[in-house]
Amino acid sequence: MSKVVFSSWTGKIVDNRGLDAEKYAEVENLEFPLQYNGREIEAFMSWNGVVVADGRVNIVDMAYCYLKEVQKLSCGECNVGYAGIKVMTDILERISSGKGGEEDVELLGRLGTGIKENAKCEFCASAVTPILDTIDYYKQEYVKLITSKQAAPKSSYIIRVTAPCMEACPAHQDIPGYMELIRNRRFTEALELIRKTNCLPGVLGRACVAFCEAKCIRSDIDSSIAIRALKRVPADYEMSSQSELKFEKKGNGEKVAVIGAGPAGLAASYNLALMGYKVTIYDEQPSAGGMALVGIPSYRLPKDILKREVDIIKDLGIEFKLNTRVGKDITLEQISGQGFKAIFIATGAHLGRESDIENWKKEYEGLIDGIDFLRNVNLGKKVAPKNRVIIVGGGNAAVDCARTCLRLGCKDVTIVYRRSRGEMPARREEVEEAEREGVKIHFLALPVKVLTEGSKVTGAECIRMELGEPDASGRRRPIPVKGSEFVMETDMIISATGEAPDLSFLTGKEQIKITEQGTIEVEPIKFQTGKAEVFSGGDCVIGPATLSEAIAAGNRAARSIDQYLRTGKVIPSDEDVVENWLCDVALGRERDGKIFASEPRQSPEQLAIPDRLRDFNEVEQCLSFEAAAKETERCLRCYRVMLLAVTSEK
Amino acid sequence: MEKYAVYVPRLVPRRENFAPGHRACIGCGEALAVRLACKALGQNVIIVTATGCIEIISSQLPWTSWRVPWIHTLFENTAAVASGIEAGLKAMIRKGRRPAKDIKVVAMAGDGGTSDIGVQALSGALERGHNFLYLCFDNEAYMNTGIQRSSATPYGASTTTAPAGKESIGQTTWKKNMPAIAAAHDIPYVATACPSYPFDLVEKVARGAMVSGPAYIHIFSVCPTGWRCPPDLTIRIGRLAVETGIFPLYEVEDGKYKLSFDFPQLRPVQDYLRLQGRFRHLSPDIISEIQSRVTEEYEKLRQNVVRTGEPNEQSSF
Amino acid sequence: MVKLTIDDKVVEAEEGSTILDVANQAGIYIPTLCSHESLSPVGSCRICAVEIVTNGKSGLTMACTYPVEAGLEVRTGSEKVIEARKLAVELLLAQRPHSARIQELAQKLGIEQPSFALKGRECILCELCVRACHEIVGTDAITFVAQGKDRDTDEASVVHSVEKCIGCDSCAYICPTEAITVEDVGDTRTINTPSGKLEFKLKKCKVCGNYWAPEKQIEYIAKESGTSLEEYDICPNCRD
Repeated sequence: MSKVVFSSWTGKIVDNRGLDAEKYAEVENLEFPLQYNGREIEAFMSWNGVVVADGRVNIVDMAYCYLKEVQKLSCGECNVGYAGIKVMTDILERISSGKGGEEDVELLGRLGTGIKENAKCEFCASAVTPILDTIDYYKQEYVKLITSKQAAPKSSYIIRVTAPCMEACPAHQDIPGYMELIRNRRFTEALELIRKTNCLPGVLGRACVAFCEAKCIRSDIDSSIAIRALKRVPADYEMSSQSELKFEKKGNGEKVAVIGAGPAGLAASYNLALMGYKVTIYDEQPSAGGMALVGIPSYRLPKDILKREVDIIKDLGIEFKLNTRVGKDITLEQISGQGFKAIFIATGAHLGRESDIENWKKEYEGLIDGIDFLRNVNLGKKVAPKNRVIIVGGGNAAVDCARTCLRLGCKDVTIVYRRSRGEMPARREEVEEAEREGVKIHFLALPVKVLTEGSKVTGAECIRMELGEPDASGRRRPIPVKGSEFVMETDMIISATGEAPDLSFLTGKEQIKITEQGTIEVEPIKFQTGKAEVFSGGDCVIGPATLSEAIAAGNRAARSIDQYLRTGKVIPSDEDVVENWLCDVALGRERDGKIFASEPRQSPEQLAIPDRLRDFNEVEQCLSFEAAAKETERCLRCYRVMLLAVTSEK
Repeated sequence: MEKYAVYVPRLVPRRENFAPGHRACIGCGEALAVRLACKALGQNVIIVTATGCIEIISSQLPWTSWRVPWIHTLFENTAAVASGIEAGLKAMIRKGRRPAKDIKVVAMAGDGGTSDIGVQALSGALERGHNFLYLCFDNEAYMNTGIQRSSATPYGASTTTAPAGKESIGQTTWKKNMPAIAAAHDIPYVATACPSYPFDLVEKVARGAMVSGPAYIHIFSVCPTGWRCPPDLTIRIGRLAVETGIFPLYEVEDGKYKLSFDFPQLRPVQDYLRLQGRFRHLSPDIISEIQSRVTEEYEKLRQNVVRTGEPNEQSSF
Repeated sequence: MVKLTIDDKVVEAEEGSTILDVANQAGIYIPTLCSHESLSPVGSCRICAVEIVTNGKSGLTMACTYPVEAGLEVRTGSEKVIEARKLAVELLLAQRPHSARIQELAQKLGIEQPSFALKGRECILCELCVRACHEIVGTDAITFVAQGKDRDTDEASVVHSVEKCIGCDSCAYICPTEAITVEDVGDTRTINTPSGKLEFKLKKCKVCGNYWAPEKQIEYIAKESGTSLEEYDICPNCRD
């Protein structure tokens, strides 16, 4: 709800020009605030329309600067797009520098309409929308410049290029960018682009939850693009072609310590090393990877893939101190004393939530926490299979435990989850594959008591659940149904109901605050803790989350650390602020009208079931180059360019 | 060998506008040339054909090989009928009696119907500047009626009406230079082509059809039946004709001569002559006479290129 | 078989065929530039625009890429279509005014001069050569330059990989704007591309002494067909 001079956002026109401010009609569909980092937004131009908050900005100058940015992203794959936008940009340059001609406005309109209707992909077709709006509603501004032969007064703008998939991705990977590169078989360049914001492409190409796919606009037409599977293609290509990656090796700068060699720690180290800092990573495990190492089974993420990607990061000159637990083998204070100018804590969330099932005692044979179970298997420790196993929980960890048990030889594997299928937080593909492999899932049930005979587990007393009102997470709360107890016979119960960060290495004297949820408190956007030189990010800050969120945190924390080390302060840049500001702007298709033909999604091949269960062979295969090319053809290139005109600071 | 030869067959239009099943002799170079030309022409054409081999073999009632509109004219008036159709189309479009669709009129005739009995009508049509393409399929005799000589029969060839024997060497006059006659009318496009260079032929017919105004293409059509050569050597003999300089491939575009293929050294004409029964009787003296004339004519052609064309445009083999 | 309407004519088409296939069968003319019946379509020239109504939505699409659907309504000559085609051709004419193909298209649409100026270029990014090299020849020697992240559409054009190109000239054959040309002089074939020249040594025939094909092409074909190189010492004309 805002009062502005003019808005064509989502196609609804509100034109308050010429009216007194009190009489302004409200604009109801502006979902974003009109303040930006303490400054007022004067005007905003983007694919969904133009918003003019106050009349100071010259609309023609804005249109020109906007289209100049658009032109940089024009892909060249269709004549009308690249040539048409170029002509329009030339015309706008002419007009805004006082050299416009009489026919220019009409020509601009004709080109804009032509591009909107006939360009090949979503990008150019939607990018011209605001220009057409200005011609419809601000024509006199153009005419004024043409007849007066005056140049338009210039402003400076904040520019952001994004896309629905890019916004959904916590690390803001340039997805349409690498789609295009894969389509043109430029795998090395695609990999370079991916690595700019993601130092573990092979890992995420296999294990990422793919927030991007949930927001992919292609699903309006048929189904979302297989972005995750496509991300893997250049990573695998690099491995099979053994091409040399080129990095600028630096490392003469100041020392930074990173605690935790998980995705967040690796991402921060990677970025810091490329910026010239000398990084040392501490990790308690014998090899690096964090949750990617100990949490994700090798049939989803082969260990050699992780090792190769870690080695690439190591080759930047980063020192790894493995088998070193901070808090036990070395303290935080000792680390500080070793001349590190900044510390990044990324210890993740590796503590299994304590099971509240009655009679859960560690001395019984056959009870184990899910995280511990997975860690043992992933670190190569021998785990004797039991015949019947129950796994409590519904997240990815629970499903990982279940499928791992099958591969260890367990004959009867059942997941028991207290809500229904729709509320399961695990990736839907994982659940489906688990069921295909033979995992049974018991919905709306919860074990309440461990049944034993001597020191062995013999079963679990369970109770049925029904769904009540939604709880804080938005999902319907499970309520036990009185008197519905039943017994499930089993030899082993794995509890995989959640993880929590283990912050026992903090003594409490470090000025680092811990939140009510048991995570490290940091300033938003800055990732800085209460102690100036200590930063933190990843699962230990936001609670158990995903690989991509951890990498995003590592990337951004590295920027903050760099700024802190150079200037002593952390002031979020425009880029950081607009990243957050954009979260409120919906990236929809209200004004896009292009028709696209339906094409089936190319899904990667899965290993046949009998071949899978014999061993921990990787289940999902890489898309073939032909399939990858076909799948990237479906990408609509939904880049959105946004231009903000912001009042300068006083 | 033609430079595009290896992969381009898969890039040539696949549709056969000249349907198979016609009655041409085994190894007929002319039928091959017509088929290729029809690929280049597409479907928006009206084909006008004189009496001759092609007309006979392609239209035996009730069947036809023509998948496009086609009319059979008299032997001598193909160019005139083509002119009439072209003018008629223009008028009907102008008067709004037909939608303004692009239809090209293409005349097809043999050497008899072109350089002999048809030359009058052709000259008139070229002079009047009609927008049509004229293709002359030259098998160097009146083959349809039994291998009688025409003005296109080469010097020293034996035909039934100019047979070789004790008194005569066969044809005693040099082959009439029809492309030069067409070029003398100052029309926008003249070319020579041979189905042994299929992509060159297709390109030239396409170019001729795109011209606005009269265009003439002279197409060398090997006739194993009439030339008394093995039917599996049609392509080879066509190539030899080009490589010896006997039938050079060139274009004249708005007066500028351009060689399609040139050779650092022409092969001796003997390589071409010895494969054909119609030249079997030739003595070494006649052969060397033919050789010097061929060399001379080729040199003249080269000079035309230099005189009128841009030197860089010459592409060589 | 799928039933659809094109210009009010009801036609039946095979599943998987495109609107362009259907139009060709029905004798309806749709101008094209970047499409070729032996190559997969890309829809880059934007000239074959047609107006369709599907699922209640109407708009423009490319005839060469849009597959037939039951109940599809197609218009090949509406005002919207003609305007779109005119713009597409005008843009091309402004970039490559000397191309005979583009001039022919412009003439058919009644365009004399483009109403705007654009920097001239040889390669119009129609991708015909890229596709021919990938799908017909199989050496995949042609890609785009100045595309991808450091794109500059003013400078974008095709580039040949010196390692992969075998000098077969299919690209020159199919290029509609003569951006790629070929010259055979003496024992060298030169392929002129928008991003540079490639030279190939031609093989000399043992019998007639004429240079008949690039050695690299012969090596490639010998390898693909499993024949020995000696078989290519004599050119096809001289073989018996």
